[in-house]
Parts: sequence; C-alpha cells; structure tokens
Amino acid sequence: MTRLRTRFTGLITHPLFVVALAVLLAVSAPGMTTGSVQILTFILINVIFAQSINVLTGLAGQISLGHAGFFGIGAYGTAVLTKTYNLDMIISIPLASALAGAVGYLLSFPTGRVREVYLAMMTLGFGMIFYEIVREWVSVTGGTMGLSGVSSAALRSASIAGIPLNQVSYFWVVLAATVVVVGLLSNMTRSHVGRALFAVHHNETAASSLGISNAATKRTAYAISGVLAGLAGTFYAHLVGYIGPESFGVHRSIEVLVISIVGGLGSIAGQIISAAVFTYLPEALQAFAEYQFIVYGVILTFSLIVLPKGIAGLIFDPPRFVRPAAMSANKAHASDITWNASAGRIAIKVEGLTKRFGGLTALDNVSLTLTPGNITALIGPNGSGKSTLVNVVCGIYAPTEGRVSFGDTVISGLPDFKIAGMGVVRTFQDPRLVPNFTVRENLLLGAHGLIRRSGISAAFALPGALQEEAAFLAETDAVMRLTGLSDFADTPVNSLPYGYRRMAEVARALMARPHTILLDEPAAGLSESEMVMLGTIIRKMKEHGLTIMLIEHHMDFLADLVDNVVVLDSGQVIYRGDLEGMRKDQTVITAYLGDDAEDAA
Amino acid sequence: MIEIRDLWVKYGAVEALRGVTLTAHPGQTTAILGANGAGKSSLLRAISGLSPVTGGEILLNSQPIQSVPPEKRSRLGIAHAMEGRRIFRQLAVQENLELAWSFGARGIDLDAGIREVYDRFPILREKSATAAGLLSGGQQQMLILSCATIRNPTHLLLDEPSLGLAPIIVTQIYDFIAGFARDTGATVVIVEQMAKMALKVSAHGYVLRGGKVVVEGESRALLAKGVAETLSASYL
Repeated sequence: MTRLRTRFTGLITHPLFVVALAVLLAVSAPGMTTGSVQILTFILINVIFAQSINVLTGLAGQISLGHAGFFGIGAYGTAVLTKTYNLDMIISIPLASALAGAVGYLLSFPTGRVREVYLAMMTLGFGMIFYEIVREWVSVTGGTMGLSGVSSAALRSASIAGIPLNQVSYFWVVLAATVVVVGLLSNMTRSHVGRALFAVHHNETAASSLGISNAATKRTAYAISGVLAGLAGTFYAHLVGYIGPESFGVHRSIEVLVISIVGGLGSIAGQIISAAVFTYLPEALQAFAEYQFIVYGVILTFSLIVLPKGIAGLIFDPPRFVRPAAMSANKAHASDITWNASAGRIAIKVEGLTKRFGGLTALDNVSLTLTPGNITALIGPNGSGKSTLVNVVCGIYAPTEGRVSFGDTVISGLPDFKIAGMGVVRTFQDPRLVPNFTVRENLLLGAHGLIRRSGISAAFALPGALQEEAAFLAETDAVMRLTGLSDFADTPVNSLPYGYRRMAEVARALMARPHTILLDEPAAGLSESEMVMLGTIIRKMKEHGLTIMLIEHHMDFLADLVDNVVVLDSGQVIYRGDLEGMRKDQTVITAYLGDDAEDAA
Repeated sequence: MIEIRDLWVKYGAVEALRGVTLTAHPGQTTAILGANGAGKSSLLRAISGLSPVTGGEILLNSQPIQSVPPEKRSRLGIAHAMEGRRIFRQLAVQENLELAWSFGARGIDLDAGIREVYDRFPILREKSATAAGLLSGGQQQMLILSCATIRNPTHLLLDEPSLGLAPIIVTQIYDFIAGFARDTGATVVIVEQMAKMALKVSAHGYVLRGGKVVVEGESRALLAKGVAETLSASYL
C-alpha cells in the first residue's frame, strides 16, 4: 500500500505527467462546449490562487484571511491598466501581479511580527480595507457599480500581444501560465528557498540559529504569495469582463483558504486537485436546488474529519524538499566534509556579561575567553545560567551589561541569524529540528547560509543551482557518515529516537561550516556507544581547528576531551581551570558534583 | 505489578517492539536499558497506552489493559514521565503540580504533596510562581518528575529521569526513585542511558535491542558482570 502510494505520487508529480495532462487538456478544449472551457479556466485560476495560499500558509505557516485583497489588486490592476491606459494584457498582467506582490511585501512588515489569531485578524483587516477602498474610490474602481467592459475572452474583446483571444485560446494562455507557475513552485519548494520557508514555519529560533532571517523569509513568502494571487486575479478579470467589490470580499478569502486546506497544506498537487473539486462541486450540487449550500457545508465539515491532512495526505506521500535531479547529480561529486578555513584563528571573548530577566539575574558579570581551537566545557548546576550564556553569545538575548566580541568585532546586540552567518553556530538542549524534514533535508538546511545561487535560479532549475545543491548533498552524505546517520538519511526526524535527533542537530550545525560551535548538552540521552562516537566527532572538529564550547553533565564524557572548564553557579563563574582541578575544588563539589560524583558520572 | 507478554508495537511498517516479555514487581524498580532506537520509550508508551500495540498482552495487577484508553490507565494509577519536556509551559510551577495532582486516583493531601516536592527540590519552591516554560532545562526535568509522583501513582514509568541534570541532582533523584518504590510499594519502571546508575537502584534489569529483550537478570548480577559487558551484549 505504502509502495503503491509512493509510485502514484511519483507518477502524478512527474513533470512529464503534468505536461502530458496539460497538452491533453489543450488539445481537447476546442471540442468542448464554451461552458466547459469556462469552468476549466475557473479551475486553473483557482489552482493559481490556491498555490498562493500554499506558499504563505502551507510552506511559511502564515495564515491569511485577506487573500481576496491580493486577488482584487490583480483584477482591478489589469482592468484599469487595459481600460484606462490602453495597455496590452501582456504588460498589464505582469504589472498588476507585481503590484499585488509589492503590497504583499509591504504587508509582511506588520504581519511578520505577529502570529496565529493575531495574524489572522491582521490579514482579515487587510482584506476589509481593500474591500472598502474598492467601494469608495469610485473614480478608479467604479465603486459599488464595479468596472464593466473589461476586455474579456468571453466577449471576444480581449487580445494578448495584439493577438485576439477567444475562450479557447484564453484557456490556453491560462493553462500555459498555470503549468509555468506549478513548475516554478515545485522547483522552488525543493530548494533552499522552500526549506527556509518551511523551517521558519516550524521553528523560528532554530531557523535563525542557522543564519536564516525570519523577517526576510516571511517577506519573500508574502511577495511570492501576493504575485500569485494577483496573477489569478488578472486572469479572473479578463475571463468575466466585469469586476465588482462583491467578488473580493471575505468569503472569497475564506473560499480559497478552504480549497488550500482541504487540498492539503504544503502539497502542490493537492492544491490542484482541491481547486478542481471545489470549483466543480457547486455546479454539481445544483441538483440539490435550495439545499445546495447546506450539502456543500456538510461535505466541507466532514472532509476535514475524514481527511485530517487534506486530500494530499490521503493519496500522496508527504512532500519532499530536495529535487530528485539534484540527488542523482550528487553522485558525481566527491563527498568530503568541507571545514571552515578560518577556524582556529580568532577568539570569542565574553566580558563583564550580565543578563537580567526582570528581577532575576541569570548571568552576573561573567567573563571568559573561548581559546581558538580549544574545547571549553561550561558546567554548573541546573539553572546556573549556562544556556542563557549560550543564548547571549548567539544573539538570542541581548546582554543587559557587558559585551561579547569575536576578534575585534563586537557581536553582542547583533541579531542571531547574523551571528550564525559569521560562523558561530549552536545546538539546542532540546533538539530543534524541522520535524517533517528527513535527516538529509534537516542537514541541508544547515548549509542554507552557504548557498550562493539565487532562489530564482533554483526555481528555474538552472544548471548552476542544481550543481550547487548536488555538491551540498554530497557533503551531507559525508557528514551523515561521520555522525552515523546514513541509515536514516530519508527518515523524517519526527520518527527518529531521541538520541539520533540530537546527533542530527550536531550534524546540521557542522553543515554550516562554523569556526565556533556551541553544543548545549549534546550527550544527554545518548547511549554509551553513541557518546563514544560523539567524542570522536568533537575531537575531529578540534583537529580541524574549530573552537568548541560544550555544556555537559557527564563527567566521564568530558574527561580526556576538554582543554578548559568554566563552572557557573547562580550566574557567576566559580571555577576556571582544568577538569582535574575542578573535581577537587570544594566549591564545585558543594554546588555541583556532590559527594557521590563518581556514580553520577 | 506490570506483566508484559510477547508485546509487539508497530508504527506503520516500522516494528518498534518485537515480542517483548517482562515483569515489573511492586515495591521494586525495574530498569530498561539499551541503545537509542532499541524500543525502550515505545515500551513505556505501550504501557501507558500511547503507542499502537499490534500483538501480545499488557497486564496491570493481572488485569489486561490493552483496550483501556490512556486517560483511564492514568486513573488506574499509571503515571508516565515522558522524555521531551512535556509540561504546561504557560502555567506556573505550582499550577503544574496542582494539575498533575488533580488527576490522581488515590487522593493524597495536596499541600503535603507540594511541600514534599519543594523539600526535595528547593529550587522549585523558589520558582513556584514562575511559568514552567521559563525554567532551565534541568529544573523542568525536576518538575516533570514531581508531577509524575505527586499523585502517588501505583505504577510509575520514568523515561530518562536524569536527562540534563547536574550530577548532584542525579544522585538525589535516584535515591528518591529507589526510596519511592520501597516506601510506597509502587511498581517503578525506568528507562535510562546511565546504565550503571539505573542498575544500582533497580532490582531487575532488561536490555533491549532491536525491539527484543537480549539480556535480563537481577541488577546486582548484571552490575557484577560489568555494565559494559551487559550492554555490549545488546550491541552485538
């Protein structure tokens, strides 16, 4: 059954299948009734519209209740440009879509700061503002009367690049655009852009710890989503020839959200199927006459009970975030780990660091130096401020007083994703991986900051982008071999045992080619043999010059591994020196080790 | 008493447990050891009703419980402290404790229970009004353990209770666990990576590998044989 589903997914999402289906539709369109061609065109418009929700909500996790606004900007944009300014559709459609994208980009500044219900309300507000502007700005939009006489394929008044369009040729245009959109989205999703969007969706802190800017990623998502919704709107305007505010109200935003959710958030193919079903369904339900919308509502209610992950969750494998083409190109690359060439040169200095949370002083005047190429253990009782220190060094918290510098550069106060981008990478106490990603995809995410090719070249699957991705995939293989994860390369991390998840996080940090790595309890939950392996990995990091800071409670693990030890208690440094000295230090024994220290280790 | 006979657990195509048989006696601690992926957590989750059992039997005091939903098993006296910091992050420390207590089957005095927790982990008293999500990792671990024990369960399942704790606290927690089984007569099952520590406080030990029991015996005997020796049998 599972294998059958994998094959089915492979078939349906294969580019050749998609193109063949499009050609079949294109060829058979002239033989259909105009009504059928009209419905098919509506389906395609909803496909593009649903994809726009899928990028924003399915990938980036940002819910929108105001998407009809972007749809409307596209529709009114092209209508005004063609009617008032006599522009050709070949210019007005891209312009109006770009305008919707620009509005999306701007909207992301306020909406990027909020989440969940607040985000839903803010986007709802956006949709309502758009609706009111359209109703009141009579001179441009025609107010409640709307705009009629928009060049339309149905009325044979439309032409593109001077070529007159009838309903069938217009259908071809929309079909071609849909195929291009789906192709680009499918490539983009399975590139560093798609992975970053999904990572921000699942864990903003983890994403920024790998150098991914949450704000910039959300801006990208809103812009792409705006362009797509705008594009769908332009096609809608030139299909019906009349646009009025009532076509762009809240119900329209809800409708497309429903299509997208029932289709299966995250799945491009699911969106297509769902758009087809939900565009056709109201027609089919006309047989129920006045009960039509009640039946529609019942179907809707039960569809999410029967299909909790949408249509795609039922019939397809979960979407993946690496292109198969890159996977096969990867075999040509020699797979070795590339280490940071500048590792081991510059020290990280923490000077007089104090961090207060309200009345609580988590760090109290802490100073320490991470000697380049050395392993420093940071230990201390629970709640002594160890993780807080790592969080300040990595930029998750700004210090209350004091500073952190990297060479001559003061890094405290910089945002976390910038510090990560400078080569200071950390792991978390509770593994923060993207749960639906496979081990391989999580590791690739680690290399995000190193990818030089643009998202556009990835979307067009240019050879350069493919080669770059293949090279990183080869490196992923090498890192998985080092960390003993090769057998789980294609396993989603949410089904991995805890210890492997920890190892995957260390591996992901390595993929970022750091010169300094901060490991927060990497050995917690590892079995003894896995700890031996972790020790080997950490020694290898040291061999390649990495500066390492290690929070850990297993004393046996630290012995033979670390060069220096810093012990914190209640936010203050109580010991600095080597491990042997620490074991005998009475203050440390009282605060941390206890008398039975031997057993605990 | 927990008796498990030929237990199978499958997640889709993945077999997490393949015919595990074991017995955990009241008043004793039983240690489950083994590498990551051996099926230890799945075993505990099967007992508390959280993983899909596809074959075999789980008996709680000689009564089969496979068809009992997890929340009812909790009422039957099973408390399960899972890995992965499962606490109510927005609730204060004391609210977490009160909530855990209110699900107890055998009522004990709430105030006494909370006082006992705070005496054991004084840091939790200091933080009693702090949102649990703001505690450090180790403090959260103390809270999880306290939430599991405050309801005075008859069957206590602990998944890596020492995870992320300072050595001084680990020693203290293990003393407490051993004492809990002895003093209350509860059946305690612990999953632990710190094999030596777990064997010291337990009466009986089982080593899992690939979803099967590969070594079992009295903890004292396993310790005598050597921890490395015992475990290496599981890594063959």
